[in-house]
Amino acid sequence: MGSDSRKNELDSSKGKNSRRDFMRKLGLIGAAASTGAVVSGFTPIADTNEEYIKVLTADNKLVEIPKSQVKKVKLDTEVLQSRGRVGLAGKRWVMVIDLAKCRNARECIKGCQEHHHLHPYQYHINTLVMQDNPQSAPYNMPKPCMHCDNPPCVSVCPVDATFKRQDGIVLIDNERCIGCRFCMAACPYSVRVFNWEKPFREQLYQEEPMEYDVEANVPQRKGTVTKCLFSADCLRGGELPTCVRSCPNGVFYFGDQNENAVTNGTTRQTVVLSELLEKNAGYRLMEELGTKPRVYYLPPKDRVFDTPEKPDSHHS
Amino acid sequence: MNKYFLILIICICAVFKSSAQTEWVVPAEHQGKLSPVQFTESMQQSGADIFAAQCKVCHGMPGQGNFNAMLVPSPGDPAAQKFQSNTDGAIFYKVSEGRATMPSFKSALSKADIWNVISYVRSFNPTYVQETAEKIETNIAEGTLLTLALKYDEIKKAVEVSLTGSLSQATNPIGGVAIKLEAKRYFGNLPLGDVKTTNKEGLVYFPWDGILPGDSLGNVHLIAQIEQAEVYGDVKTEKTLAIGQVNDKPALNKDRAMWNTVDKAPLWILFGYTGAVLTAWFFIFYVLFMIRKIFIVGKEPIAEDQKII
Amino acid sequence: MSDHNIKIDKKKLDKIATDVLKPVGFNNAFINWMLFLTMALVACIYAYVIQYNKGLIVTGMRDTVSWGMYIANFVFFVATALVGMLISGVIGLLGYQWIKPITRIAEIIAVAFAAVAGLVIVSDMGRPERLLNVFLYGRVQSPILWDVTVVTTYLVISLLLYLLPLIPDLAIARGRMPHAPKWQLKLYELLSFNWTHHPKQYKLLFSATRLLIILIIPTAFAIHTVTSWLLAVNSRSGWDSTIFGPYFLTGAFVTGMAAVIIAVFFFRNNYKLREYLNEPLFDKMGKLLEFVCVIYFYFNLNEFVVPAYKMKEFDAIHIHELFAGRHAVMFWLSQIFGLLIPMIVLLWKPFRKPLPLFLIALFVLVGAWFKRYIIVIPTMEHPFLPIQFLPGEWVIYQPTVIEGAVTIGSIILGIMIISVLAKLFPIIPIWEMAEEDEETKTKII
Repeated sequence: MGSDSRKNELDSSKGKNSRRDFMRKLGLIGAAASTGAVVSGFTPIADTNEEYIKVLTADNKLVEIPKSQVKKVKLDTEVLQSRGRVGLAGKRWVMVIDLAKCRNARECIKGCQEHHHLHPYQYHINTLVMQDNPQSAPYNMPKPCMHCDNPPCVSVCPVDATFKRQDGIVLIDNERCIGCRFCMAACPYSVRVFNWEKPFREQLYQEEPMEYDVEANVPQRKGTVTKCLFSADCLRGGELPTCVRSCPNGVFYFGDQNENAVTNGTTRQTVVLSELLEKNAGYRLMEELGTKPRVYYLPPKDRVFDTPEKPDSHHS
Repeated sequence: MNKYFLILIICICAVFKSSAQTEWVVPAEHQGKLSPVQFTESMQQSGADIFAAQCKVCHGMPGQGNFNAMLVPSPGDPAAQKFQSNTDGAIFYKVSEGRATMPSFKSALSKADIWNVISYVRSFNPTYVQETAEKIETNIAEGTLLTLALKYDEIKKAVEVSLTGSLSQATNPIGGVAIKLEAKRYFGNLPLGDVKTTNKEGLVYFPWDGILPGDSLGNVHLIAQIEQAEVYGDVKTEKTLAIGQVNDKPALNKDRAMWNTVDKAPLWILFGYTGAVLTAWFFIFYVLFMIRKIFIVGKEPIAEDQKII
Repeated sequence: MSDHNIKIDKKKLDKIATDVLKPVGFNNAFINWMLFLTMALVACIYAYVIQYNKGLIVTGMRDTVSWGMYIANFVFFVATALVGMLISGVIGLLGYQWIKPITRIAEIIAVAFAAVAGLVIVSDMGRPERLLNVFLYGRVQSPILWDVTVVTTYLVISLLLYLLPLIPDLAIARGRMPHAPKWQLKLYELLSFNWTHHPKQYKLLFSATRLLIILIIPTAFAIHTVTSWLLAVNSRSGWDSTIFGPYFLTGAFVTGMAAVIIAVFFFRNNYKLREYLNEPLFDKMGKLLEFVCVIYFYFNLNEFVVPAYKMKEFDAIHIHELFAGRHAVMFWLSQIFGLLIPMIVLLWKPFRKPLPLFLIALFVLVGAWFKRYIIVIPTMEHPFLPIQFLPGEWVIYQPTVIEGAVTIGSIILGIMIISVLAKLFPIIPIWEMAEEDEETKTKII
């Protein structure tokens, strides 16, 4: 142990980063090649000289294809779109927010606005000061998109611009969005924001045009709706969402409900989801509306920070 | 008079309470813990990066006193006297375990990372002289190659981890070493049960109830490793076993539902909508057809007296 | 139905045709009027161009109140357009004869307002150039798709219902307008579809019209119910109501009736058609307005009293805002002057005379516009979760000049369509008016 292993870890983490960047920029398109091979009865045993490699396709399926058939393709919008609409198979993302730990440091908001190129007044995640009744103490409540399993916003979208993926994420495709803002009216959590004017990073887009990634909703576009995406682009690379990683206070847990495990973004401790919710009486926001959110809250009991000042009114 | 007395008592209590709050007692066995290696320049640099990413938000930059004073207990400036008076072991313990507003970093940062942060923090203390840990004596012979193996014991309904040591072609089980078992999850490893010590046969058994969810085939990726890596080295083994719960949960957009895509729209709405539109437009086209007939009838010759007007 | 015995009084026809065709044609006064409207419209279009280039930031809408005056205006336009169905459909099917002279005016209003309603909704879109996406990727689950479908259908049916009874009139007019410009006669020829007053043609015309007025009733119900659902399918307090469909529909009858009365009053005076658009007609229209006002009042009572009785948390905030809060003045003015007082005074015959009725209708129409504003905006101002960490001007909605200009532009466009149609074609159905009375009962019904 010592400097050597540290160096190794540093290197490996570096490797992870570069791999992620690589995966963002380059995709491996091997699905067509592999089906061709299967149809022609081409098996790995038949030709021992051929080297096979495992490739993750755009819809997240692991396939094996001859190495010679691998072509590196620049990820164009079409590929980003198709993989973005399909989502990650076998996953059901879930977020747990521990209200007892939030001190409204607003680091999650900073990270998020940076990641998704938002104006300072645009929030994919916002921390609200809540007070449930005049007697109870106010508390801070981070409010991302709830990624409902019965999303009212998706129901009303006329053009399938906002959609729900198999892994539970509700995304918005700003190349499709017509800007009718019906989804904003429909969302009971007010999590959707509109690009009322030109995007915050307009200049950047002009200087270096970039492919539209529906999983990050970047570049933003004037006249379209944007919202929290659970940083779907990060999830693909095995990385926690930006807000989860940015929190200094261990407020956020994120994970896969199918694995029954969530990982804290600050402490990186992985815990059993069902136990966490059971022990702390986890609840979901406005359960009575039947939206079935994918975000759970742990009540602000045994708080580690001072209570915030009372909000002006319940309704500001 | 009584009133002043009461206020005085309250003040005393408050002072006592706040001082009690800032007191962070580190268990004696952790106080004396020392870094196994001498701090280096590159360790400091790496520690600075980690500090900026994880610690700066609350502690500010060391030496600048710009820590978040609003927090209770106060995080304090790491370069300050009070902070530096901690032993290396005490800082290590505090970073690992956390308390109240200070998160625990034992999963987020590796032990090496924590030592890097300590080396960075110590670089602000000119009077600091580092002591490194003595080599810890174990009862395992020098040069022994430790190997972990992992398998599922069907009869015992437990995951069996065995630790063996091989030295000059002789392989022997090794007992008395603490082993931890983890399952790989998407964003991190989930500890399974408590840390357990190997028995005389070099075996530990982690009871397995089979409720841990696996992938679509029930595969779970397990990782067993020696808890005290600083003593025995980084020894671990990984294995995928089909002993988890099969994940057969359907995709979340599989249902026919209002919020789904057009081809998965509820049937009643598909039929209702298309039926209504077709009906309305059928009659509209029928009317257009009648206008055409009016046009054709108009071509017929008609006697003046037959005309309505 | 198959045996219509339509008999037309030739002498009566000659007189009606002369009177009705006299104001037809683009005279100088009309051209000046249109020039004035066009200039105003250009200014409004300029405002829209600014909005198109800079984005919706130039409006008062923000993330909290993301639907503003445009949507309120859209609801108003759809509501007004519904009068075509009320007059031709409901009242016509019931066999009332007094509606004959105003059916065409009602259809003109329906066509104009339905057409402009489509444009109003486009002006509210952040990406109007992507309108085609609605047809390319349309989701059958979305009320917006239903709305687009049903507005288009209603517009087509209204147009046909306007055009069909016009065919014999154009045939009549062709021989009687020697001074009309050539293009106008050509247009008349084209649109009269070889009309030779053949009994078979009349038979076809009757059955086609009958089919349309039956079809327009469910379509009109659909158009305004769907428009109400744009709001009612959301769970926000103030919109989350089960009676929104009928509430909107009855409100639309009030609005449309007021618009028809205003138009009829205008044509009565400017087109010198007092003989046909006479006082008994106004009395009847006044009674109809009274009737729809009473029904609308009943729905208002339900809509506000029931939540106000329970005072559930968010309903209470909404009700308070309307009754005593920021929107109280507009709410009470529109309710009292736009509904309550008209409903009461219309009970007396003197108020159903042309001029008083015209003034009442003006109040009702303006009140109806503000009522739509009251329906849309206050609900958006108080969502379920508090609005925090946003600049002050982002919380409270204040329509901007540009928004006002675009809205006025839509009204100008509506008036322009009505003006052109009213000058291009006869405003009163000549042949229907000239029908001999005893036969007419069997005509459409």
